[in-house]
This record gives sequence, structure tokens and C-alpha cells, in this order.
Amino acid sequence: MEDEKITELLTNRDQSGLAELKAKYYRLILKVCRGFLRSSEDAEECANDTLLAVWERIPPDRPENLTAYVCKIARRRTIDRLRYNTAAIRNNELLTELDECLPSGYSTEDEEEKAELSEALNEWLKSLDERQQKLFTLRYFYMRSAKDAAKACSITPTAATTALARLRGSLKKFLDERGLFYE
Amino acid sequence: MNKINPLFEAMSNINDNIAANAVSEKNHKRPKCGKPFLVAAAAIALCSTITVTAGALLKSPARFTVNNMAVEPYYSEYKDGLGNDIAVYVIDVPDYALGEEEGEAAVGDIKVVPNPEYPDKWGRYMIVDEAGNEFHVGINNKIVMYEVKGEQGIGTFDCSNFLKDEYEYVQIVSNGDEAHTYNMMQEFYFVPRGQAAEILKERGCPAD
Repeated sequence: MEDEKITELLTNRDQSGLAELKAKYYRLILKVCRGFLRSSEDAEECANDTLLAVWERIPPDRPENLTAYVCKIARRRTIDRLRYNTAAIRNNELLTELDECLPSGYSTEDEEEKAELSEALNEWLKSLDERQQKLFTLRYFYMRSAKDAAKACSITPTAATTALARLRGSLKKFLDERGLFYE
Repeated sequence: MNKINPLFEAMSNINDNIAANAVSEKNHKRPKCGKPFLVAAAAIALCSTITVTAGALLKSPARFTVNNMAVEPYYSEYKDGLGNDIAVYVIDVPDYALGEEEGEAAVGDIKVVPNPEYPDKWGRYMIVDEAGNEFHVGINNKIVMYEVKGEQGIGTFDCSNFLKDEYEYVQIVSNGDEAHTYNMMQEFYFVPRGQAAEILKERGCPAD
């Protein structure tokens, strides 16, 4: 079913919209959650929480891009779970990869700083070509393995890890120039 | 409580189109490089004036040229520690060498240029082709091209059959250890025989 139709059903509080949402997006949502969490149960719980959150937020939300909307909610739910579940890191090295760009100790409690960081990240992403955007997003938004991301981009895992390392270096430099990186 | 890198949280706010496009079915294959299984390109030189004609080397290693002179590469196939088949082409060119592989095949002439981002000896040069694609380069006395059939090799390899006992191949897969320049980065070197262990130690990797 088309995204617009699903959104329409959800907006009208039609429960078939939730079923259609699950049919179309559950696997993708679960993949996002599994990228972070070791426990399948945790991942499934987060995926179900995500579906529920979408149901609760539409309306009043009316997302123009349902794929991005549900995946972003899934990411936030999963990160929240991760915070309270120190043993549940499935992919610790993945989480530390971005420490090259911005140390984990960097505090962004300030909402303005968070917004500034998000803005800078989007600006940097937009400066990349489509292939680089896809690779970086698959790895760090969807938490895919380098191998999976490489396959999706039709490059080898080695080429992907090389490209990702360069992209992290580029992001670090970009953030540094904006005063957003400091040790 | 875990410390989550704020960038991971910021990633949750990326542009909707970028997020959605990443999981769209759009095909990102490069039309320029021919068949995807076709190798690698690599090149190199004493200085940036030496070039290798990449178009020629993609299908026929025997037609590799350096400074317009035909070069006969060494060729060998071997298995790594995981049983993956790996094909390697090596050209004798003094000073530096590079390894690259499928998906990043070069277009047109390849040139060696200083890499301003990594002034240290590891990766101080980079290779660019006519399309602006960058390739990584190791320190070596050879031009190296290799084609990996299946998964990339892991660990160290004995390449005495094609490197005539002079060199050995080292691949480092870092695991987030701070001693490494690149987290999760795989690095490839062909180094003088006997130096692999020292390099692995220097890079904080256990030899296997």
C-alpha cells in the first residue's frame, strides 16, 4: 500500500492503517533496532513500541516521508533503550566509530547544541554525493554492517570500510571547522 | 548508563530524503568500470609523473603500462586463512605500491599525489584517477593489484610464490583499538619479508 494511503488511514484512526504499517515497515524497523541491540527480544519490543508511537503520533503528525519518519522514531526508541541497558550493545565498535568525529564525552545536553550538531550533520551529508550519503546513512542511521552497506551500494566491504573511514575523517574536519569538535 | 555518541543521536534528525533514499531500491552500480568482478586498479610510481593506464589493466593485466611501456605483472592466486580465493597482480615499480579492488576500479590514468590528511608514512600518498576517485596507497616497492573472489582476506598471508620471497602481504583489520588510525579500517601492505610482525606490533595488532 502506498505511504499516503497508510498515513490517511492512520489519520482517520483506522486500525487497518496500523496493520498496513506493520506489513510494510516492520522488517525495516526491526532491522534498525537490531542494529543497536543484542537482544532480539529488546529489538522486537522496540519495534513494537515504534509502531505504537507512530499510531499515537499520527495524527496530529502528517509525515511527508513515512519511511524516514518511522525509522527515526525507531532509532530514538532504540537509543533510549540502549541508555538503560548497558549490556545490550550489540555493536559496540560501531558506536565508537563515530568517536573519531566527535568524542562520546562531548556533552550535548543543551538543546541548542544538539540542534546545531544536527544542522551541521545535515549540511555535511548534503555536501556528499548520493552514493556516499547512502553508504554513511546505511551504516550510521540504519546501523547496517559494513558488509551489508557495501552490498547495497554495489561496492566491496573493503571499499566500504575505506570510504567510511574517509567520510568520518571528512565529518571530523567539517565539525572541527565549525567549532563542534574538541577533545 | 551508556555514553552514546551525540552524533548517533544527531543522525536521528537527518534529512528525510537522505534517510529514505538509503533504503530505496535505487541501483548504485557504477557504469564506468565494466563488470563488477573486474578488479582493482592500482598504480604508482617513483613520482607523480608515472601513470598507469587503468582501462588497459582491468581486463588484461599483461597490458599494464607504466610511462607508456608495457609491463608484465606477476600473477598469482592463493587462499587466505579463511579459504577465500585471492588473485594478485604485482608490477615492479620502485618505491611505492597500492592495493585496491573491485568497486573502486580506476578510470583513465592514475596519478600519485600527496595525501594532506595523512602526512605520516601510512597513507601519505593517495591515488587519484581521471574521474577523481581516490585510492589508498601503502609503502612498497611494487604496484599491486588484487582481485578478491568472495570475501576479503583476513590476517597475514605468505606470498612468497609471487613476491619471490622478497615481500609478504599484511592485512590489518583494526577493531576500534585506539592504537589504530582508522577504527574498523582494513589496511593492506606488501612489506619486505620479515617485517610483517614488526608492523603488526607497531599497529597494535596481534599477528595470527
